[in-house]
Order: sequence, then structure tokens, then C-alpha cells
Amino acid sequence: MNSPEPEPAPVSASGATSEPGPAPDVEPGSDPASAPVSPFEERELRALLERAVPQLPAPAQRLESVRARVRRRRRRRAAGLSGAAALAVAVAGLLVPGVSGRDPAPTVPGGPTAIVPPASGGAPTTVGGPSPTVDASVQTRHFADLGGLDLRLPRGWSVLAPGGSATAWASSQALALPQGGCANALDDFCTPLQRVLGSDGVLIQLTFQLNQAMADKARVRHLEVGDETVVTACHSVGGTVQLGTQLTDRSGSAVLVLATACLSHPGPAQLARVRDVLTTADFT
Amino acid sequence: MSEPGFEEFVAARGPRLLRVAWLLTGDAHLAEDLLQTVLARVWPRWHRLADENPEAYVRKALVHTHASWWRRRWRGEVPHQDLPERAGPADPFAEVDLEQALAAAIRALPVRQRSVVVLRYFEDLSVTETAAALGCSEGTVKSQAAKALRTLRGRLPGALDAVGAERGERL
Repeated sequence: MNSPEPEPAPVSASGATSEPGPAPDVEPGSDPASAPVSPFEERELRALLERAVPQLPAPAQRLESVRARVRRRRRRRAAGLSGAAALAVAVAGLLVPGVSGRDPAPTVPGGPTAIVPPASGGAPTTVGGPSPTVDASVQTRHFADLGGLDLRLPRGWSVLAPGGSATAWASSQALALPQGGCANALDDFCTPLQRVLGSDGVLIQLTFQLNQAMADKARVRHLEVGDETVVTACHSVGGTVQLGTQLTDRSGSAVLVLATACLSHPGPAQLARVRDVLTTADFT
Repeated sequence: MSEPGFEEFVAARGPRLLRVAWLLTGDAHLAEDLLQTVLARVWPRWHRLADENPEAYVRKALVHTHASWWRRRWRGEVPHQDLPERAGPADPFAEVDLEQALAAAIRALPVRQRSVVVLRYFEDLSVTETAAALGCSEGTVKSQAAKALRTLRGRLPGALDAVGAERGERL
């Protein structure tokens, strides 16, 4: 078994631990064996502890609190690694003349990965790289305008997230806002695709809302990704299958993101991929 | 963020581990904080621990994390006026008095003696297991247990005897 992380042993043979207790840990001249605990006393102490130690109620949000602590620890660790790496690069640049000049595309190790929507239908490009522990087939995209939503998207997908907008899109195809934007989208489902969906193509629309009652209701119902009736807007771009769910922040906030996926003749793998994207969504 | 089995473990063993944390800290809020701190550290490595003895690992982590808090001299606030929230016993005032007296007596123990009391008498570990968990000798465990019991006897006059008598009646 591994040793717990907060490893330093609380006690040492030297009795170095000191505190304002009634007696020091080691009394001069005392013999450990000279004061044995009788079985009767041990039984009494066990009974006293079992009786007097309260049965404390577990807070309803204990696991959520633990999750939040884990996220904070990871962020702190990532920030520390990024800072150390950036410092190392800066020091290397100072110590070795010309180091930075020889690197045609310097990146910040451990920095965030961004998906840049293709400007003219080409494959999306990525800036930065995933950390070594991240699944290479997916990359996490953070949507600050959608309540801090994090989506694990398949590598190669495109994202369209107009700044300040409460709606964003992700797709297996190239994206571009239509002329006039999406203000008057049919069925509240905008389809900013450069071309209609090809076979196995996917378009996901994410709409941010701030509604405590709706968010609470979605949390209680533990909504899963479900089949929906294909709306006209989805059908008009070649969609044959529509999935939907509501994403909520586990911390209990009012953030609610409505996710609707439009798919064209999807294979089982693509369906599983979309469900995975939506079920692994998180908020940070 | 999910680890198979972790939530079930917390649901099943959380109440007991929280009581261990309470014995270490003497305070309900600190106990929850201590338990959550340890669970947050355990979670990322749960896939490696699940097949071993996660409860022993968490218990050991509770003791060591509490000790590290103590070394840093972080005590936090220790409220004394809050009544514990739990189902009411036959004589709630006597139970609360006993609980508060025990909390005060436990807090007065040096951290090593406190750890020995928790592991040896609340978690029912053997002397050998307690020594292994604390990283000290079996002789140290025995001597610390004896000192702790003496201290508790002095700070809980009559409580141990009363419990002993009560057990005698039940038997």
C-alpha cells in the first residue's frame, strides 16, 4: 500500500511533538512497561468512546465539496507547473543566446488548449498541447461565457463561441456564423454550418441560462442524454437524429446549459462519442 | 470526474470515518474539513487503492493530516456552544455533557496519545497495527496508551467507571 500523501509521521520515537497538553509526551524516567493498561480499563475506554463520540450528520454536498477541492488542487498544480515551465524557458532564453529565436512556434508547456474554428473550411488547428495524462483523442474546451462549461471534444472538431454570446456550437464539420447571425433561428436551433451535415456529421448547440429553479430541477432529475424529435432546423441541414440534455453545475449554482445535438445518419461510434461529450461535461 | 466505487465507499464508511475525524479534532466542523481534505487527496489515486484496503489508507491519512495541521499550529475555531445535531438519546443533556467532556479531554491529549487512542480503542486496531500506522514502536504505543488513559481518567472523573458499570449491568 502506498503511503498517504500527508506523509510526515505525526509521531517520532524522540517524542518531538509538543503542545499545550497537560503532560509531555515522554516523562523523564518513566518506563513504558511500568504502567500497563488493564483489559478492563481498555474495555471501559472503548465503551466510552463508542458511546460519547457523536453520530455526526453527513453534509448533503460532501462529494461535491470533495470534487471542488480536487479541481482546485489540480488547478493549483497546473498553474505551478506552468509557472515553473515558463520560468525555465525564460531562464534558458537568457542563458543560451538565440534559443528563443530558433523556435519557430514556441508554445507554453501545460498551457490551455484552444480549438480555433477554421476560417475557410479547413481542418481546425490547435494551439498548445494536451498534458501527457490527457486522452490524446479528445481535448478539453472551456466555455467561459457558458458558466465555465468544460467539454471534452474529439480532436478535430470545430467550435464556434462568439464572444459575449450565450450560445456556442461544436461540430465535426467546419462552422461559420450565417449572415445576420443566429438571432432569429428556427426552432431556437441555429445551424452555423458551412455545409450541410455529411453522413456521420454532428452539430451540437449549447445555450446558457441562469435559472436556479430549472437548474435544481435538472439536478434532481439526473437528466441523461435522450432522444428528441428532430426539429425542422436540424432536419434542414441533413439531421436525422437529435439528442438533448441539460447540463448543470454540481455545486448547486443556477447555471444551466441546454445541449442539443443534431446528427446525420450517425453510426454507433459517433452516437457514443456525442453521448460521451455530453455526459463528461463539467463546470470549473 | 468519477471513480467507480468511491462514492459508495464514502457513503458506506463516511459516517465512521467522520467519527474518527471528530475524535482527532474534537470538533464537528473541523472533523468534516479534515475528512474532506483527506478524501480529496485519496480520490485521484482511488483506482490504485480500491483493490487494497482503502479504509485503512484513509484512516492513516486522517491521522497524519491532522498531525500536519497540528504541527503548523493551525487550530481553527473551536466552537463550544453548538449542540451536536443527531437523534435524541434518552437523556440528551447527560449525553451532550459527556460528549463535550470527552471532546475537551481528547483535545487535551498530546497529538501522539490522541492518535493512539483513536486507532487502538476506537478503531480497534492491534498494538502492532497501531504502531505500523503511526510509524513507531509497539512499546511506544503501549506507553502512550497508558498515559492517555491516565489523563482521561483524570479529566473524565467517573465517566469510565460509569461506563464500566453500565456495561456490567447490560451483561
